[in-house]
Amino acid sequence: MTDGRGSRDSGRVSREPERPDGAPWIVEAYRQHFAYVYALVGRLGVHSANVEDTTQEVFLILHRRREEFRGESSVRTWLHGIAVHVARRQRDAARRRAAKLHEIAEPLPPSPPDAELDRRQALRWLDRLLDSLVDEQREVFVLAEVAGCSAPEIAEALGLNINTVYSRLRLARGRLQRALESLRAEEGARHGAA
Amino acid sequence: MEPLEPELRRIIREGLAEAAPGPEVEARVLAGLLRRLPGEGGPDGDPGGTGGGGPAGGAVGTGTTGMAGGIKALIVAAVVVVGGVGVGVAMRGPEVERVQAVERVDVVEVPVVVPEVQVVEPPAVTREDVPRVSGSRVARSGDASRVSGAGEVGPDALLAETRGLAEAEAALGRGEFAAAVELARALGRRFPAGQLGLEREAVEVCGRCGLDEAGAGAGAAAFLRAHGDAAVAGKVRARCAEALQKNLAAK
Repeated sequence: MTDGRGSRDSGRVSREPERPDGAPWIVEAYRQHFAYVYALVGRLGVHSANVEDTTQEVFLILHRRREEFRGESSVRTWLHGIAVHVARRQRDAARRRAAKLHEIAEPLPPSPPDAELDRRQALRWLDRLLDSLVDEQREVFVLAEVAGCSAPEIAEALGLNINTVYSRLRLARGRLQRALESLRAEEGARHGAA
Repeated sequence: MEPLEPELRRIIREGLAEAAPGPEVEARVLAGLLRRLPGEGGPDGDPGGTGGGGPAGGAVGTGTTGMAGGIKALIVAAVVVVGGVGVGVAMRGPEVERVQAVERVDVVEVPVVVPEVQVVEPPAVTREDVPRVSGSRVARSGDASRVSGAGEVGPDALLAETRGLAEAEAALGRGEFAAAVELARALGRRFPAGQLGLEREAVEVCGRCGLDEAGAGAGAAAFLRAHGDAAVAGKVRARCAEALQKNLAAK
C-alpha cells in the first residue's frame, strides 16, 4: 500500500482466466488488493497477531462468494464490506478470549519491542487514535478516511442509514481531535521528562 | 463534510505507509490461502458451501485453523509470488506458535450486507478437542500434487506454478529478458494447463519485447486483442509500447 487508496488497484479484476475452482481470479484479486486489505484490517482494530489470518479470511470469503460478483462494483468495494464484518468478528472473538484469559489469569501477549514501536511511530499514533473510538465510529471513520469511501458507499457496506454515517463520522472526528490533543500532551510530557 | 484536520490526515497517511506489509507477509498469507482454496468441504474448507447467500450455518473454522492445518502439517518452506517478487518463507517456531495461539477462535460467517453480526459463542472445547493435524491431511495434500497428463495439479502445483511465475517476473523486472522468456516457456512446459497461463504468457510477451525480437510487437498486439481486459494487459502495453508502435508502423 502506497497510500490510503492503494495505487496498485485498478478496481477491476478480470475474470477471464476463470477455472472451475476460481483460483486464478482470486490470486489476481489477492495480488491487487492484499496490501490494501491488510492495512485496512489492521486499522479496524484487529490485533496485530491476527491481522494475517484475518486478511486471509477476507480473501477466502471473497473466493467463496465469487459467483455473486457480477462486476457492477469494483472488487475493492466488495472487499470493504467483507473486511469490516470479518474484522468485527475477530474483535469480538478476541474480546471473548481476553475475558477468558483474564478469568484464568494468563499473561497477555507481550507488546512489541520499543525499537519497533519507535520505528513505526506514525502507525502507533494512528492506531492509538483509532483505539479511542468505539467500534461503530471506528468502522465508519476508517472506511471514510482510510479507504476513501463516500458516505453512500459506507452506508451500503455497513447497512446503515446515511444520516447515521454522517453522525458517526462527525462524532469520530470530534473524539479523534480530543484524542490527538491528549496524545500530543502525553508525548510532550514524555520528551520533557527525558 | 469538512476536510480532516491536517495533522490527523498526516498521521493517517504516514501510518498507512508504515502499515504496508512486507513481501514475506504477503507470501505467507497467500500460501495459506492457496492451501485452503481447493477441496472446500474437506478438512480445510467450509463444509457449509461457498455460495454464501445468507449466514452460513454453524460456526466455521477461521482462516487460522485452516492455515494452521495446511502449514503446520507440512512445515514447508513456501515460496510464492508477491507482486512479481519471489520470496522464500520458512515457517519458524514463533510463527507456528502464534498460529497455534489463535487456533481456538470460532466465528460465524455473515453476508456482507447484513448490518448486524451474528456471533456464536464458541463451544466449550479444550485444547485437546481441537482437531489435530493428521496424517491423512498430509496425504491429501500430497495426492493433490500428483502429476497427470495435463501437468501438475492441485494446491501444491499452484504454489509451484506461482513460484515459477515469480521467478520469471523477477527476471523481467531485473531486465534479464532472455531469462524471463526462458523461465516463462519452461513454466509453460511444466504446467501446460496451468492456472496462471495468462500471467505466464504476459511475461513471455514482455520478455520478447524487451529483447526486441522480430515479431514481438505482433505477439504483443495479438495478446492484447485476446486479453485486452485482463489485469496483465497493462503490463504488456507498458513494456511493449515501442514494439507495438513498430508493429503498427510496419502495417
